[in-house]
Amino acid sequence: MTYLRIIPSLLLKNKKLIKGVKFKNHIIAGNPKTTIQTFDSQKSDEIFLIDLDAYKNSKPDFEELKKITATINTPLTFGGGLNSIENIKLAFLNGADKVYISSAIQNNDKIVKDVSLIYGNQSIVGGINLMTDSNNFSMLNYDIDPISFAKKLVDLGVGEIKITFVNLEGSRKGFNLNICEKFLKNIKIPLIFEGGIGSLEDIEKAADAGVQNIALGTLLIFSDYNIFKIKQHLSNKGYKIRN
Amino acid sequence: MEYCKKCVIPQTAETNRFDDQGICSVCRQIEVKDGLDWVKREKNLKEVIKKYKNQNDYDCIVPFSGGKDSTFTLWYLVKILGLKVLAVRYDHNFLRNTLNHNVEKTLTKLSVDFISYKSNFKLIRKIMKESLIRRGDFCWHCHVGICAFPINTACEKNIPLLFYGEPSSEYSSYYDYNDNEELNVEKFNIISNLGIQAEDMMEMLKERYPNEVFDDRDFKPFFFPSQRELNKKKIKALYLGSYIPWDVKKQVEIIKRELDWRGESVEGVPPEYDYEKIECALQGSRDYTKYLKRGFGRTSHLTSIDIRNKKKTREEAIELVKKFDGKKPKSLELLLQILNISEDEYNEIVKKHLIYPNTISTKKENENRNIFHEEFEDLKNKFRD
Amino acid sequence: MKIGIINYQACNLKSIYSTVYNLGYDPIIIENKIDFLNIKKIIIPGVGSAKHCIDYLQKKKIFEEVIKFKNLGMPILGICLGMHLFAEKLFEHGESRGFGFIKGEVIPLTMNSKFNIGWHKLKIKKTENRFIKKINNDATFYFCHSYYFNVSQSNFEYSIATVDLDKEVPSIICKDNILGVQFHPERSQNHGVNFIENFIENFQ
Repeated sequence: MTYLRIIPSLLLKNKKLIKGVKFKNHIIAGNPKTTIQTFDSQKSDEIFLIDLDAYKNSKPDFEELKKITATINTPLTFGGGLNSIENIKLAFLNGADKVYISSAIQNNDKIVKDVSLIYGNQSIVGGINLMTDSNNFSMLNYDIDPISFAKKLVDLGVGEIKITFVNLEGSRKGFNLNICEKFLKNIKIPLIFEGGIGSLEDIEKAADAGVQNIALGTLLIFSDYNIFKIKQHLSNKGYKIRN
Repeated sequence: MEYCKKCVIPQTAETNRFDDQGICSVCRQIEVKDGLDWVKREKNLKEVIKKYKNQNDYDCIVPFSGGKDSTFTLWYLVKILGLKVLAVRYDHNFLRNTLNHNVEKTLTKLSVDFISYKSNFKLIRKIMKESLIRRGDFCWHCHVGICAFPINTACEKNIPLLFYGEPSSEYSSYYDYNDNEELNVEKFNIISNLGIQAEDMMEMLKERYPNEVFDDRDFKPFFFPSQRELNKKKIKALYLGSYIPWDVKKQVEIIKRELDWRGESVEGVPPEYDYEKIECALQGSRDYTKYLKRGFGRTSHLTSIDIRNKKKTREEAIELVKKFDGKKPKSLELLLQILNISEDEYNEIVKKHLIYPNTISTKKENENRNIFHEEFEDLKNKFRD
Repeated sequence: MKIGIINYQACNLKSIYSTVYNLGYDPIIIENKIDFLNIKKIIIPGVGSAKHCIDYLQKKKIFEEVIKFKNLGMPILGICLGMHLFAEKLFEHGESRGFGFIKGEVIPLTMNSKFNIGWHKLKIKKTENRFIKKINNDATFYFCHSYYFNVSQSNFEYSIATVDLDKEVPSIICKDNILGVQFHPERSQNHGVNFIENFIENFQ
C-alpha cells in the first residue's frame, strides 16, 4: 500500500495565486513563490499549479514558474495552455517535473506520444474536468463518456490522471465518492481527485473510499489548516501518511 | 475532544500525534530525553564552539528577549563556555517593566554587547490585525522578527553562529530530538511565520488598505535570507537545548541566583509559574485567543511540561487548568484598543479559526487578579491614538 | 569545488542545478566535451526517455567523456535515468547501450499500474556502507519511473538499498566511485537535499 498523497492545488493568474468557486469568482490567495515555498517546507507530497491566464492567451507564465521552482524540492506539476511540444519543453525547462495536459489531448491526442518520447510517460498527467450531479457526470465542454475518455488516456500512455469536480470546487461538500469509486474501479493508473474538500472529514471519507491522491485548494487557502496539521490529523486516525 | 492520556494537551494542538496508547508525541519525545547521549551531545557542542570561536568580531549571537530561556542561554555561553557573545533582540513593542529591569541587570552583570530593534508601531498594529484575521494569531511580527532579525544581523555582521534556547521538540512535534534542529528556511516556513512570508504580508496589507501607500523598506526586517545565502555564509542557528538537557526549573533557579532575574505574574497562569512568558504585555490575550481556537491555554501547556518532567500528577494539572485556563484577560482591552475593533468583532474573527473539533467556549469568567499594577495605564497611554 | 551537471536537453537539469546552487555551490552545466575541464564531481540528472538521452550523449561526445571520468576514479551521481545509464542495455523506446559500469539491464516495471510515482521508504541492504549510514531509516524519497535497473546476479553486491514495490527494485547502487539512485533526491525535500549535500561533501 502506498502513502496517501496530499497535494496543494493552486491557480496562477496575473502573477498571483487565486482561488475560485466553480471555476469562477476568483479571489486573490497569495504570492506564488512564497506560498509554494511554504508548502514545500511543510512537506506537501506534491504541488499542482495551473496557469489560468494561459488558457486565454496560450502563453503560460514560464517566468513565474521559473521563480517558483527555483527554491523548492517538491515535485511540481504544471498545466494551463500546454498545447504544443514547444510549450511543454519550456515547462520542463523552467522547472516543472510533470505536465498537466487536458484540452490539448482532446484536440490532438498524438501529443502524449510526442511528449513521452522525449520525457517519458510518467511525466504526463492527463486531465478530466467533470460536471456532476448526484450520479450523473459528464465532461466539461467535451461530449464523451468520462470513463471511456479515461481509458483512452491510459491507452495513449499518460502516467496519471487528474479528475476535477468542477461544480464542487470551493463548495466544501466533499468529493462525489460514487464517481470516485467508478473511476477507481475502471482505471488502474494513479488517479488524483480535486474539487470540494472542505474539512478533514472530507479527506478521511475520500481516503476510505480508496482515493490515494487528494488535491486541496480551498482548505489550504482560506483556513488555518496547513499541510502539517492535515497530515498529523490523518496520521492520528491511522491512515498511511508520509511524515 | 481527545486528550493525551498522560499530559493534558488535546488533539487540537498543532502537531501532537497520539499513539495507540493515547499518549501524545511530545510526551514520548520527553520520555526518551533522559536516555539520549548527553555526554556525546555536549562533546559536539564543544566541537562546534571550537570551530567558530575567535573567527569573527563576536563568537556568536544570542537572540535575547530577556525571558528565562534566552537569559539562561546567554549566561551559559558567557559564563560556562567563555564566549564573546553579541545579544540581539527584536522588540515587539510590548515589553513589560520587570522584563526590562531583568534585561538591564543581565547585560550589566554579564557585560555583554547588545543590539535591539523595534519596528514602527503604525506598521505593527496593521500587521497584528492582518495576522489575526488570516491566522487567528496576532503575533506574526514577533514570531517572524525574533527569527529574521538575529539571522539578518548574523549575515550582515558576519557572525555565523547563533544559539537559541530550547529546541522545538520540547513542546511540539515538528521535529524530535534526533533531528539536527537548526533555524533554516524550512523551519522558518514550518514553525515561525504562520505560512506567511514578508512578501505575502506586504501584499496582504496593500490589498486591505488600497488607499494607503506602503514603503517596501518597512518590511525589510521581516525578510528571511535565502537558503543559499545561509549555506554560503555558513550560518548555523542552533539550539542550546540540543546539546544540554533543558531543565526549566533548574535554569530559572540559576538565573535568579546569578543574575538577580525576577519573575512576574502573568494572566491565565498560576502564580507558581512566575518565570514563564513574562516578556509580553499581551501574552494573556495571546493565550486567550489560542484557548478560544483550540480549547486549551497556557496553564494546560505549563502543567503538561511538569507532568512530563514528573513534577505534577495529571489530577493536579487538571485542577489548575480548570481554575486558570480560559478566563478573559484584562490585556484584551489593550489589544482591542490597538487593533481598533470591538470585542464582538474580535470574537467573530477568532470564531472563523476554530480548530476541529473545538467548539465555541462557554466560559464566562474574567481574569480578576491584578497582574499589571500601574503598568497597564502606562501601556494604554502609550498606545492611545 | 567544481561540480558538473550533465545537460542532455530533456532532463530535469534545472531542479538539480537549483538544489546544488541553493546548497551554496556554483555548479557548471556540461554540454560539451570541453566542459569537463576541472570538474571534480558530476551529476547525471534523470528525467526523459533512455533512447533519446543516449543518442544525444553519443552525438555530443559526452558519452565517452563520462566513461573517461569514471575510469579516472572521479565521483559520479546518477539520478533515475542517470542511474539507468550505468547499465549495459536499456529498453525504453528501442534498445540502447548504456555505460556498462554495472552488469544488468533496464526493463519495464511490471507492476499493476505500470508506473511507480510517489514516495517510498528505502530498504537498506548494506548497512555498513559509510555513505548509507547517513540516511535516516524513516526517510521517504520521491520516485517517478516506469523502468528499473535489473542488476545482474553477479553484481548484486552493488545494490546497497532497494525499494519494495511489487518486487524489490534497486533504489541505491554503489560501486567504487559511482553512485546511482532510482529516486529523485532533488525532489525529496530535506532528506533528498541532505543526500545531495552528502554526495558533494563526502562521496569519494
